Amino acid sequence: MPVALTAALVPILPAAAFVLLVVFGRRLGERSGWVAIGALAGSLACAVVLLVRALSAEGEPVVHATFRWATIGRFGLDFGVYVDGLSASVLLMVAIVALMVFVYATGYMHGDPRYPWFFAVFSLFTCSMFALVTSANLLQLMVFWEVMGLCSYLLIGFWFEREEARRASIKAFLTTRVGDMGFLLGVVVLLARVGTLDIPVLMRAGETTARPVLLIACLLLFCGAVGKSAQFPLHIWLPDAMAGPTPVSGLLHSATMVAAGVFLVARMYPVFEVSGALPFVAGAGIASAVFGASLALTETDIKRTLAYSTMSQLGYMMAALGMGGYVAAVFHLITHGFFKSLLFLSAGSVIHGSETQDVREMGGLAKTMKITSIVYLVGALALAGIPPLAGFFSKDAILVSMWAPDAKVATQALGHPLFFAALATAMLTAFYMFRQYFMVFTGPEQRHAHESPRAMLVPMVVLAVLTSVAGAINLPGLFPKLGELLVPGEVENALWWLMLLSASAAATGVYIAWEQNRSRLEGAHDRNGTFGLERVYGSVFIQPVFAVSDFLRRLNIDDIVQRTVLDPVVATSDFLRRMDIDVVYMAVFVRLTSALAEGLSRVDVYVIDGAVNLIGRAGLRIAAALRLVDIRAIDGGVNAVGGGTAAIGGWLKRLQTGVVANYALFMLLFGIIIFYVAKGLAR
Amino acid sequence: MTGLPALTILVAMPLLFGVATLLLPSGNDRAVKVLGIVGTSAVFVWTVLIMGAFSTGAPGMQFVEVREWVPVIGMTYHLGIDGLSLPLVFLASLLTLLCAIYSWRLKEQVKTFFFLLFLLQVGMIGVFIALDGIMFYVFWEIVLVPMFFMIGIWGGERRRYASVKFFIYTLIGSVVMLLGLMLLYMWGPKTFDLVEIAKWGQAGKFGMQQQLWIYGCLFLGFAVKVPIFPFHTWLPDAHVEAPTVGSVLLAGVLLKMGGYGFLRISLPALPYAFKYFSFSLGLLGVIGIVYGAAVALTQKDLKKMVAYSSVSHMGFVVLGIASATVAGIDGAVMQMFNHGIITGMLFFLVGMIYERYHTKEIARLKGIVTTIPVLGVIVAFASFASLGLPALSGFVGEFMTLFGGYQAFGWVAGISVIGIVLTAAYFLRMLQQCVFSPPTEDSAICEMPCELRATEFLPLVPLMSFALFLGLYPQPFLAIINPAATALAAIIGR
Repeated sequence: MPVALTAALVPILPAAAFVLLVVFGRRLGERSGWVAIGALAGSLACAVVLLVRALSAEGEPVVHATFRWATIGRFGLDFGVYVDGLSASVLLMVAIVALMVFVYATGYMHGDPRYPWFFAVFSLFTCSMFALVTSANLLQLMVFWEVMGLCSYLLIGFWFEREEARRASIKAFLTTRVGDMGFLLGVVVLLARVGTLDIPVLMRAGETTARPVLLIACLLLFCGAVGKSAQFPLHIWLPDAMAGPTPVSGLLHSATMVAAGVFLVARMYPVFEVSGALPFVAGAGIASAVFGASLALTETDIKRTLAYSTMSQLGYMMAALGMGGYVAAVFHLITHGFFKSLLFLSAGSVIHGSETQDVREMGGLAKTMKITSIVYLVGALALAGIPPLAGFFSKDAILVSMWAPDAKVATQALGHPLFFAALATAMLTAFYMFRQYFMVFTGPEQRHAHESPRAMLVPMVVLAVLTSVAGAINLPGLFPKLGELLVPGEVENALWWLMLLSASAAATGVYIAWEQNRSRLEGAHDRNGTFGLERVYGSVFIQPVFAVSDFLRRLNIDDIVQRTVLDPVVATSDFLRRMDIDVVYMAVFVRLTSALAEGLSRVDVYVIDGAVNLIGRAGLRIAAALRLVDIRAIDGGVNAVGGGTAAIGGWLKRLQTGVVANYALFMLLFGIIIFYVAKGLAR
Repeated sequence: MTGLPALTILVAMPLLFGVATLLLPSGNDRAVKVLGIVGTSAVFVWTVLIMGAFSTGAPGMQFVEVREWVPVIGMTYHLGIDGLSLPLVFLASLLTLLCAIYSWRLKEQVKTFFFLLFLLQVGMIGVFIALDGIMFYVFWEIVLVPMFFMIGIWGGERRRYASVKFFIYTLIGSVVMLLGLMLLYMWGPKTFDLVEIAKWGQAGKFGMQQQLWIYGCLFLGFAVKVPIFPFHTWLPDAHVEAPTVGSVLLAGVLLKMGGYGFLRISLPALPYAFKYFSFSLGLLGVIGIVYGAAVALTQKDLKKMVAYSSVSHMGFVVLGIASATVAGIDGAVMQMFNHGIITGMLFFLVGMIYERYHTKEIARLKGIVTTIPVLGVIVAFASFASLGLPALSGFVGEFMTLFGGYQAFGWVAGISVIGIVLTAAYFLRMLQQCVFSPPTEDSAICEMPCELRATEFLPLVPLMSFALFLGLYPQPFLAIINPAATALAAIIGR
């Protein structure tokens, strides 16, 4: 099979599944899940082939094949497939995670009346991520970026009978669309200034295009990434996106949607590097990392906590990209894909089993949900960054990139503050994850729970295994396979002291959580206190952070956005409507018309009787009506014309008797008058 | 088709069918409808044949028919078709056919209705193929008459008010436009042949002051038709009161006549004035995009919302035209076609909803997708197409006009993205309210067999296909427009 076809099949197979399920879904019933899974397995196989090729390609793209999608004057837009080390590795991760989530969903969605529809949209969702990753053209990437946005809208709002689901879906679509407008403008600027949107050519744009132009373009593109990857301040849609079914969160938070933003920056990395936009990326990234982790501290909903952690982890990736840690960011993108989907699927299993989302109502679930508790522990350890799980290695790589940033893009003076902020965030992450873990799985049982069906457990276990071993794809110094694939010839050093430091930061976080949990169980009379400020046990470090977190929560950023952005828009729009230019216009317009009519009637044109009648009568009526305006018209001048309609009424009746001809005659004769007027003017 | 006067046949066909409709014995509505569908199908097939014989990539007019007609007043019989007009002629034929199918269940004054429909088609097609100023004007006015009666006879409660408003607005616009055409004749080559006038203009024989005056006159006529902010206030009323078919053709084809006028007459004949006003026109386009979307956001009436969305979408057309770049003109024609397809679809859908729920009030419509799944899904599809979702055709036009606008005006064009966000906002708000939220006790109830009938579903199929196909693969379509757009942009030097 030609390699271009292999690459094209990756998105085409799930797209075919989408079409199939939309058409035959109802007949297939719950078999539709397996249709989607079959297609996805095909994609996975193709992705494996591509990765194998990429490994032996030594930095050259595996495939670049295009067709002419549109010609705009001298600009040609060629769409197609472009696969290199970056796309091949991300592709494989997406395919694996998606496959697992699909299998899980067959269990989770069992019995849902819209089961086929779910798998149809879910297939399209995955398809668009595949197509986005393999895009050969930036506009093509944007097209699938938006299709993915549509799918997320449909999936978050899947249970549209629920008010919160509808709200959340709109919020997600609109918030990301605000960022997407930046993306759109960035694409426009690049096409106008660089002259092409071919990704391989764009990557060398630095050689031909002025830096300020690229800076503006990159910042605009980054707006799109901020929206999609839920970075501050466009993160507000992410926690609400929980309203969708759990498999949706599992995919949206790991391999698709949020991953797209990071992928965009990674894809355009050479341009970002020369443009000087990377410090902005780093700033937004670290802000989101700290902010997200802080918000997670006071969250009691199991899925929302994970959502904030997503924001935070993506912030890590962005910050790493901003510091020149390209490989580290992609590495973390891949490992995060595994452990975050694992965490969401397990959280779904917990919710499925215990029928609540509030961690305060859970407890002791390890006894009844053994497998879930173990895989959740694996995921939590990985997220916290405890060795030897995958999250540890990738997070460590990010910390290295901050401590010793790429001299081309950043200085140590910038890197070190970021490093300490990231280290502190790592500790917070370990803390909130383990506090959650202890509250959910240890302690006394609070409610009866049951383990989930096998269709859900198997993918969780597979992901847990992957989470445990995925760190091996890029062991610094020993086996830097991913680094070689992405940036051939560049060797990354391992900093052993740093590994130790980050591991102990994570361990401290876990320890504090453990201590706090113990005291909570002892003083069981105040279980909820753990989320207040007063009862926080632990270090002096945690307490101020809690204060900030609580403050942020009370500040309610959603509200602020609502008040500062949305409300004025609605108010303006409303104002425009009330102003009703109509009224202003009709006053002027009506007078013009009647003046015209009067002027016309003075012209000696008996021939065009019928015609002038129309305007003349209308004009007279209007004039009469104008006098009555104060008395009977409510919306002012507008109704005045209404008076003229009685005359038209008579006309309408005459239509039946064939007076249309008169009308046409009028048109022509009217034209002749104008002709003479023009002639007069022309002299 | 060689040897046949293809375009004369094209414009004569609907006229003959219209006359034939009148000759049918009254009382036999069914025969009238059959004739209506057969006639519009025949016109459509003929259009497709012309499209097939059209040689893509060749600049200039094709299927030209030119002979002297009334030399005394400099009028010629001149028809022709190029990359600008072909998509619009196709649009007019297609939408008329779909309207004829949709009207299968019409009960009142069927004969008059189909006669007016054919007459409307004569005008719509005529405007896009006429290459003589007088013929252009006559066709332009022919369109006005049936539309006026359609609103006046089959319209809603305030139909008289709306039809008169529509009439006065567009009449004043077209009268002033006629003045402009006359001036082209007087100051120009003493002929109404638009090709001759364009040559005259490009040779720089119109004085600068003359150009500005003529441009101003033509502008008013075209601007009312498009409509360009601030000449748009007739549109919402006309749409709200117009019957479904009237709205579809009004938004789908009639608005395009204005944009077409700019490209066919103003730009080639008056390059200096066009350049002079280019920025102002572009700015009006951008204002229209944002303003239309903002006002649409607060509409309580479904049809009015769609009407204001037209103002916003046509703003992109204006922006593209004003830019006078290849991308802008390509995009403007593309956007005109897409808007015809998508907004046509939306107006059909609003008509179906109104027929079932007897209300267009957004607040009272709920749960369409639960009650009538097919209708709900198509409404969602059309909404996403209209809000410019990439992979559907609306995006292509918006992107290209925005790109052209940026090339010509820089960041001013970028302001229009505010309109894109607002467009998403009002469509999603409408979807959330009308389509997805579960029905409540006080929401409107579907008062007839809810399922879509074949004559309702059938017109939607080609529209959806076009919206999807052109979004996924616009190249074949752009290849038609491109040579003409390139030639036009070259006149302005962009």
